[in-house]
Amino acid sequence: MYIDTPTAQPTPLILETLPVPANFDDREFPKRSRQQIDLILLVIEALDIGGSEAILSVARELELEGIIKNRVTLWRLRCTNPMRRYTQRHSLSVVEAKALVLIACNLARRMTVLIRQLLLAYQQLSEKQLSVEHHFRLSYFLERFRKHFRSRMNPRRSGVLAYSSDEKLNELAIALLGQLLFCTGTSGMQRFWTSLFDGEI
Amino acid sequence: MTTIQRQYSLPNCTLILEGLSETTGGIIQSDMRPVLSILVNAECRLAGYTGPSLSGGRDFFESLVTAVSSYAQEILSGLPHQHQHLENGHVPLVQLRRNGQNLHRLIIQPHNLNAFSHSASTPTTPTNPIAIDLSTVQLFDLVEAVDQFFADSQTLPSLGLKLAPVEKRFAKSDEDLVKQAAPAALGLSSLALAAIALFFAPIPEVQRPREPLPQENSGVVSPNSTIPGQSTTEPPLPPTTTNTTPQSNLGGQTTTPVTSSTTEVPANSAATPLATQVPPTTTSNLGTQTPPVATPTPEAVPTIPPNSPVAVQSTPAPVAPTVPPTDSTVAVQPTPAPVSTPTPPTDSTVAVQPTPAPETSTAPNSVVQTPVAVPTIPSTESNVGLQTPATTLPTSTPSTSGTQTPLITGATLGRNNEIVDAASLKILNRNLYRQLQQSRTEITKFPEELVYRVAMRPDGTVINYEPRNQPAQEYLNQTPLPNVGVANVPTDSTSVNQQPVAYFKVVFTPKGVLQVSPWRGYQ
Repeated sequence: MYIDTPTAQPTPLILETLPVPANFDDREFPKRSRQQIDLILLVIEALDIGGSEAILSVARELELEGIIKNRVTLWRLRCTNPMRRYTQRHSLSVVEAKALVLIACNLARRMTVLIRQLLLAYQQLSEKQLSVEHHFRLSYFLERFRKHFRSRMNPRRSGVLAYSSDEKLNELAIALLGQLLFCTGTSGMQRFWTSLFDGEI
Repeated sequence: MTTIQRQYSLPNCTLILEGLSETTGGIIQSDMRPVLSILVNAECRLAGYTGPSLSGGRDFFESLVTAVSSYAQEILSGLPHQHQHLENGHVPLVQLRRNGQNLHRLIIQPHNLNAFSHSASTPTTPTNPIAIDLSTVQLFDLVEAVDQFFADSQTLPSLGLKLAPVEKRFAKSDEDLVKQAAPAALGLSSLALAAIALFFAPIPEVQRPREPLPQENSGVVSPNSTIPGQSTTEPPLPPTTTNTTPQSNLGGQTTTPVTSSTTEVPANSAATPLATQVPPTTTSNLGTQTPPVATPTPEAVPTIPPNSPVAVQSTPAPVAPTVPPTDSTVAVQPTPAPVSTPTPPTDSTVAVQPTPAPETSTAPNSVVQTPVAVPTIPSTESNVGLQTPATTLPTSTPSTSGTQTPLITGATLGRNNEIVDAASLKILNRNLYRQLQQSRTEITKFPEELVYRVAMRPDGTVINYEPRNQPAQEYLNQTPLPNVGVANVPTDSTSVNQQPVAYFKVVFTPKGVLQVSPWRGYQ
C-alpha cells in the first residue's frame, strides 16, 4: 500500500525571512557559499558531540523535514562543499541553503555561551602568548575540529592544501568560531545569509 | 516633548541614545513606548575603555552604525565592505579595520566626535583620531547592540538594518590584485632581463647554406674546354709540380709496391692505400708537359732519391695505421711495412716490378672501365724507379699524356665535369689523404663526426671544401682543410668550373681519425 507524498511541498514560511538578492537569478549556489555553510556546520559538530544528531532534530523542530529528510540527504547537501572528499556534482538549491543556514544559526544561538567562552579563552591565551593546550575546552574543540576536517576533506584540493598544518587548521577553526558568534546575534541569520552572496552578484 | 533615553546593554558594550519624541507622547498612547525620532546624543561605552567618551550626534551615530554593520558582514564573508564608504570621497567618522587575526580596530575621527557632544568631560578636542582595539567578542557585543537598536522599531525608525552583499566588482581585494599582478610582473621583468642580457650578445652572422657543387657544375660547365685551360695554366706550374714531386716520390716509392699490388689484385677497393695520392700530380704533369717532360723528370728524379729514404719511412708510418679503418682491403696494408723498412733496396726492386706491372695492370683496368689511372701509375713508377730504362718513360709518357686528359674528360663528359673513374679517383684519394695528414699538426678530437666535401683538381690541388654537417662547420678551423686548399675558390666562377674536378668525402671521426673516400664511391 502506497502513501502518496505530495508532489510539491510548500516551502516553510520561516524561509521567507531570508531574502535572495534581486539580481541573483536562480543561479547555481556559489561555490564559496557552499563551502562556508558546510564549514560552519562542521564547527557546530566540533563544539557539540551530538552535533550531527542535533542538526537533524533542529530540522524537525523547524519543520524542514521536507527539505532535509534524513541523514543521507543532509550528507549529500553538505557534500556540495567543493572541499569534500566526495564532492557532489549537483549544486545546492537556494531553499536547501536557506534550510541549512536556518539550522546552523539556530544551533549557534543555543551555544552562544560556549562560543563566547572559547573565544575569550583564546583571546586571553594569545595575549599571554600561551598555546591553546593550556585551555582544556578550547584544545578539545580544536582537536575535534581538526579531526573532522581531515577525515572529510580531500587533502589534494588546493583549498584544503592550505590547511595542512595544525596551526593553520586552528586559525581556521577560531575564525569560523568568530563567524559563528556573529550568527548568534539578533539579526545574525540575516547577516550570515547575506554574507553568502558577497562578491557573487 | 519628553526626553527619552534608550539603552542597549551587553556585557562588553552599552549603547545609550538620548533623544526627543516628535509626537506629543503621553496624550495618545501612554502605555506604548514613545518613538524616539530626534537623536540628541549617542554614546557608546566599551568595557575596559578609559579614553574620551565615544559620543556624538546623529552623524556620529549613523556612521558608527553603518561601519559596525558592514564590518560584521566583512567578518562573515571575508570580503571587504569598506569601499562603500570610500566611494563618497570623505573619510567616514567611524571606521573599523582588521588588526591581526583576532583584533579589530575601531577608529573614530576626532573633530566630529565632540561637535555635538554635550558631555563636559571632553572640552578639548583631541587632534588624533581615537583608535580602540576590540576583541572578537567585544566587537560582537557592539554589533549586537547595534542590531538590537535596528530591531527596535520605537527608536529612530528611519534607521534600519540594511544588508546588501558586496557586488562582484568590489569583491576582489587588494591582496588578490597583488597576487594576480605578481606573475605578470615576474614575466615582464624576466623579459626585460633577457633583453638586457641579449643586448650585449653579438648578432650572429647569417650564413647562407651552400648549394651542392655537382649541380652547379652540371648547369654551367662545358667539359671539353677544361683540357686546354689546364694545359695552358700548367706551364707556370712546373715549380709547384717539382715541389710536389718530392711528395710524389715519397709516395711513389711507398706506393709503387702498393699500387702495383692493389691495382692488379682488387680493382676498386685497391684505392685504399692512401699514400698513393701523389702519383696523379706527377702523371698530370707528365701528361700535360709531354714535350718538355723529359727534362723535368730527370731533374726531379735525382732530387728524389736522397729525400726519399728519409721521408718515405716517416710518411708511410703514420699513413699505415690510419689506413686500416678507412680502407677495406687488409691485404694492401702490409705492403707499406715492407716498403718502409727496406727503402734503399726496394727502389731497385720496385723499379723493376713496375715496368711489367703497368702492362699487366693496364689490361684489366682498361677492360673494366677507364684506362686513365693505369698509365698514370707506370708514369709515377717510372719517376720513382731511376734505374728503369728510359724506354719505359717514353713509352709510358706518350700513353699517359695521350690517354690521361682524354680519359678524364671522357669520364667527366658523362657526368658534368666530375672525375668519376675509379682509378684516377683512387690516386687522387691517396693524394688528398696525404695532404691532409701532413698538414695536420695534431690529432684533435671532436664531439661529433665532421663531414666535408672536398673538390680536387687532377693536379692534386684542393680547390674547394665545404662542411656537410653542423659540427663540421663549427670545427672547420681545427681541421687541416683551411691549410690544404690553395684557396677556397668558389666553384661558381666559370673558369674554375671548366676544369675537371674530383669530389671526395673527408670525415674526421670523433676520435680524430681521418677518412677520405670518393664522394660518389668507386664506380
